[in-house]
Amino acid sequence: MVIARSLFAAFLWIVSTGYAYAALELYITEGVNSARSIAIVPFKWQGAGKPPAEVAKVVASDLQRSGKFSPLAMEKLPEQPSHYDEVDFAKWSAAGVDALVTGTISQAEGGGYLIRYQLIDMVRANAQDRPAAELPILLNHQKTVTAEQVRPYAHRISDLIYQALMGEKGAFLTRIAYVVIDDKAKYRYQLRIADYDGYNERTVLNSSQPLMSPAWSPDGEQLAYVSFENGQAQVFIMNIYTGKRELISSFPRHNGSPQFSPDGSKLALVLSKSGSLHLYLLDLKTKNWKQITQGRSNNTEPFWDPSGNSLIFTSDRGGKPQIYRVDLKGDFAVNRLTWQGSQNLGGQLTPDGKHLIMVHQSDSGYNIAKQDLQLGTVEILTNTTLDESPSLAPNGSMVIYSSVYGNSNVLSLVSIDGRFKARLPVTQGRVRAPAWSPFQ
Amino acid sequence: MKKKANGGYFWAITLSLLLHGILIVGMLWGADFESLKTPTQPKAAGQSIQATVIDPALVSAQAKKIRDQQALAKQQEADRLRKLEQKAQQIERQREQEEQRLRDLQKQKLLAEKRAREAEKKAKEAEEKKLLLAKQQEKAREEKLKAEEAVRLAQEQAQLAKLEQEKQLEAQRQAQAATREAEEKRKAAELEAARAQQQKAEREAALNELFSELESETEQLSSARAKYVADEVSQWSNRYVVMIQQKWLVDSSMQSKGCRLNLRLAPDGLVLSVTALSGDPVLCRSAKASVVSINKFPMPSGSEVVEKLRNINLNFQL
Repeated sequence: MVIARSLFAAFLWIVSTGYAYAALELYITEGVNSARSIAIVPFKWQGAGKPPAEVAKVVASDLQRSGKFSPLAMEKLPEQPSHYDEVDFAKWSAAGVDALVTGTISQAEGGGYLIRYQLIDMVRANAQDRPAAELPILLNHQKTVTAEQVRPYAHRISDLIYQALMGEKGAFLTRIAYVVIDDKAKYRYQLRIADYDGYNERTVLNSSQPLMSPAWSPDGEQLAYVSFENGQAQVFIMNIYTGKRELISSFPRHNGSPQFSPDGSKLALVLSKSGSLHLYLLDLKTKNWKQITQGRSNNTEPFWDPSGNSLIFTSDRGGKPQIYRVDLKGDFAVNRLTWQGSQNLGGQLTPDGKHLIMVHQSDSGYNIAKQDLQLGTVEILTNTTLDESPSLAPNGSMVIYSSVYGNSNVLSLVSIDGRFKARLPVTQGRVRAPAWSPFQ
Repeated sequence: MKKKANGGYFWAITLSLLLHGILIVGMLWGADFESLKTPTQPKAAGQSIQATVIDPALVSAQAKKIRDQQALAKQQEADRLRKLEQKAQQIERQREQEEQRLRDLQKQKLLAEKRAREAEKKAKEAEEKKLLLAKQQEKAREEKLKAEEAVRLAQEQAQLAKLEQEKQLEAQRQAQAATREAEEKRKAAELEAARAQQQKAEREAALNELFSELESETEQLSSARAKYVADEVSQWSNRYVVMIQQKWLVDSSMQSKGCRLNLRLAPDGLVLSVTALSGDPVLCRSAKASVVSINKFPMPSGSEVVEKLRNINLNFQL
């Protein structure tokens, strides 16, 4: 008895003293679902007149649109250093920013503009155990560009910052293609391309007849689209640099919804030569056609799974439109993916294949929603009206879509987490059917 | 003995043959004497009757005399032989007796030696037995002493154990009293909200002092103290968790990812270092940022609790 007690005491002693040396284990399983604070100090202009673009503003807007970052408002910046050496860290400690971007833009000798910038890790800078020799600088670059390239280069800076802080590729140096319907113009229907943020817009095709459903080839050089220029729907593929066009599909009745396969070798599209709409695959090399869906229901809006092994599509086989998946590797088995909401259509899959983005009809109308394919949970991302045609950024971080604002269709953007929502500045006319380009 | 007897006959026979030999030679010589004269007889062939006349009585007497002489000699010889034999036998007997005597002597000597050896052996054995016995006795004595010592020790231990138990009981009573007292103090402190902070500090100090005094005395008390420290550590670390969760900015992209950080605090709660041990880099960055943004964590007054709060592994998991 005495021995047992002594042993117990010894055990307790060991435990209590051991405890003093072992680290305490704590578990943090919740956080605040919010964007990270970042400061982008206006790049110091070193030259006459004005710089071609406000680089810091472009970068701040880019980062904000991703929903991951919340750039500090200009008036809240405690100071405006243009280089790491000028940063007074004491002033920044209260600002609570994770990262700080500083830079300069100057006129380069022999034309062009020299842009220098640094991304400073404020988490590391504030760490007490950081050796003085270790500079908390994540990025430190410089580049000379032309006046036209200043704005794209700002997007490039955003991509690098996003990659450095989020660990995945940024999608700010990308473009969108869309159809503008301008009743006042000579050609009512225009196919246009712009930077993802709506800047640098240019028209690649004009038509007096409807244009629909542009889709990017994986290399970003071609667009497939639907044109009614010959009195019926036909599918064309156009090289956006040369303007060269090729008629791909001109079957009786409808020819629509083209989508390039991830490897670019096939085109999925929708034909109604048998009466109802069905999915077909066209091998672009051999020109072989293959019918994917059968039966009397309508099947449309194909979208490729990132693996290329299946297609998701909208079908009314269950009554109202819902999204289904068809397996292309086996026996073309079809599974229904959406079960919530009275209608779901226009489905797109995130690059990791884990989420479905779609137009979701619920009590609040037609909105862009995100469905977790594993859990089945649906999250409505937008609060705009009559949303349609969602298109995902190539990294899956943002969705661009068409919605009704005022009396017109406008392009809107929402981050995949629903934190950031904005309309894109677009020209006159109704804007529809946006398609986000692949990475450049 | 047989040989001796043979020897005896040998001499008798030899003597007898010798005497017989002499007798025969004597007789032959007499006859020969006659014969020697024979060859000359032809020469005396004309003297035919010259024969000597011998008296027969004389001859018979002579023969009888010779025969008597011979018998006497024979008798004498036999007597002599008998005497010789007797003497030889006597000598033989004497020799045998002497030998017997010697043998007997030898025997007796051997016997004596044997007896002496046996006696010696017995003596030795006896000695050994004696030694063994002595040893055994010694051993037995030692064992007995040992047993006595063991009994004595056991008694001492039992006594000590009893004392220890009493001590423990006493300590338990003291600890319970202390705990009760602490509880009462705590309740009082809660009631008096205005003085709560000060009283708490006093109570902690008092408890600490009390515990440190009693620490070496009993394990019961140290367990109570460990429990107190563990409770305090748990309370304060829960505060830390809440503070960090309010600062940790998360994102849907962090779902099902994790990060493990090691946090070192100064005694006043200032963040000394935050090191990522493992996990997703992006999540680790946001986790670090949450800790760094707190910069200084609150610390209790008790030094032991503070020590335990200074080294923390933070497991971030969405």
